[in-house]
Amino acid sequence: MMIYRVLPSGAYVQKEEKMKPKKYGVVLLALLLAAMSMVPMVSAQTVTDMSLHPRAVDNATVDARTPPLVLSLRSEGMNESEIAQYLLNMPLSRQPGWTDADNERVIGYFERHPERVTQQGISPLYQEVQRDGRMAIDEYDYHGINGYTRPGNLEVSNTGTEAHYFTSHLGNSGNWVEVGVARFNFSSSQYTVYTYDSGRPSGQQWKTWGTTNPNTDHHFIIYVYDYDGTGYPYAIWWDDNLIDSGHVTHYNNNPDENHEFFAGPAGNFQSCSQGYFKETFLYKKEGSNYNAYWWNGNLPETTQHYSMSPVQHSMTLPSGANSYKMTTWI
Amino acid sequence: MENPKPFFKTGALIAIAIIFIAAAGCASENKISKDEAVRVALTDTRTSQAINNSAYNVSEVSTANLGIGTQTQNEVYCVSITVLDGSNRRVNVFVTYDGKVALVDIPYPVITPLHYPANTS
Repeated sequence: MMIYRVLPSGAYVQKEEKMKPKKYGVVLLALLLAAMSMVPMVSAQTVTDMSLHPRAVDNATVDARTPPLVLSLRSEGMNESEIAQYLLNMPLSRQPGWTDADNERVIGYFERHPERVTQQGISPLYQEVQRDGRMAIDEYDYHGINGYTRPGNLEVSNTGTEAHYFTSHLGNSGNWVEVGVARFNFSSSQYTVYTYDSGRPSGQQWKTWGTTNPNTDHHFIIYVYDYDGTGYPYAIWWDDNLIDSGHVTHYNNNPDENHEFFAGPAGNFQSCSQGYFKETFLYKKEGSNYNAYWWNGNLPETTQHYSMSPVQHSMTLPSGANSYKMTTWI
Repeated sequence: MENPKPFFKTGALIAIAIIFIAAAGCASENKISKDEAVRVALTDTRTSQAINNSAYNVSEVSTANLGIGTQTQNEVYCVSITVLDGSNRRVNVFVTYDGKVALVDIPYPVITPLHYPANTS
């Protein structure tokens, strides 16, 4: 709208047309500054809940993300317990060409992290610094996790980050199993797929399957079966290969998705490209029903997530996705 | 003669900015120290339960971005505690800058093999 001002002479002039937009600008700027003062001065990620109820994974999707071997055993009429025993007795696979010597060599790398060199067993002279980018539930409700991971480059060097574990755990009360990808500065050309079972005898907890391309999506599953008289059988799958099995001490466990960074005592972590976990769902037995739920804000449990400086993270629910995407980097 | 109003508006903008910066400064003055964060962490009952009367060592105090549930991330202190009971348990206590424990987390420890000297210390 045009505004006119009348001069003493009776004439009138057009008042500055841009005054009103400027006023709006000042008000908007003030509001913006006020809003900024209420927002933490960090990289904020907001996640939108879709509803108040956990979202069950439909049967077709569960089947599509179940290893073909398990589907085949089910089609033969095996129940959960019989499948568990079949998998426990089945020889574990390794990547073709990945030898016992390869396995032993890389397990030696695992055993050096965190590296602790002591003088006469008194105190550590060399204590690695660990930083995590982590997302977890801590309410002991789930007996399995099924998701995708793409670790990314996991940059390492002798003077910077010395090792990465890009891994998912499932455990309870200090007993756990995990599956992930590791990269060490000792052998920086290899990205090793590994598993860990804290219940195995000392020196036998680690197992390696082979190496992998860290820049493609990989499908991982940790699944715990009902009590079999010895414990709770579990099976760990990597891209539909059964790579580890055994027993854990609990049926209901805590899942996490974790990127562990290790550097020397000075903590000289270096830049690291992004890696992520995504499209994860969790298995929960309710009554006699084996259900699966997408890991998002609809779950009744609280999901905690953090990154310890200099690690950064974002936990988002991407448009069209069913579950959180947990991305970490430096 | 030049219209003085734009100067007033510029002045208003500067005043708002100064108020904002001053408010931010006041907020940062309320940030507790790292030593205070350690004290807050160690007096929290959840931390006591996690340590479970064992000997412990406060490894370090770093900063972290923490989100719980669907909240936005907040920058907080992370007080890392190592439990000296042979388990290598790490207890991460996240303390907000205004002195509240937001989370006590016990991530899965990386076990140092038994034949390593650190486990005999």
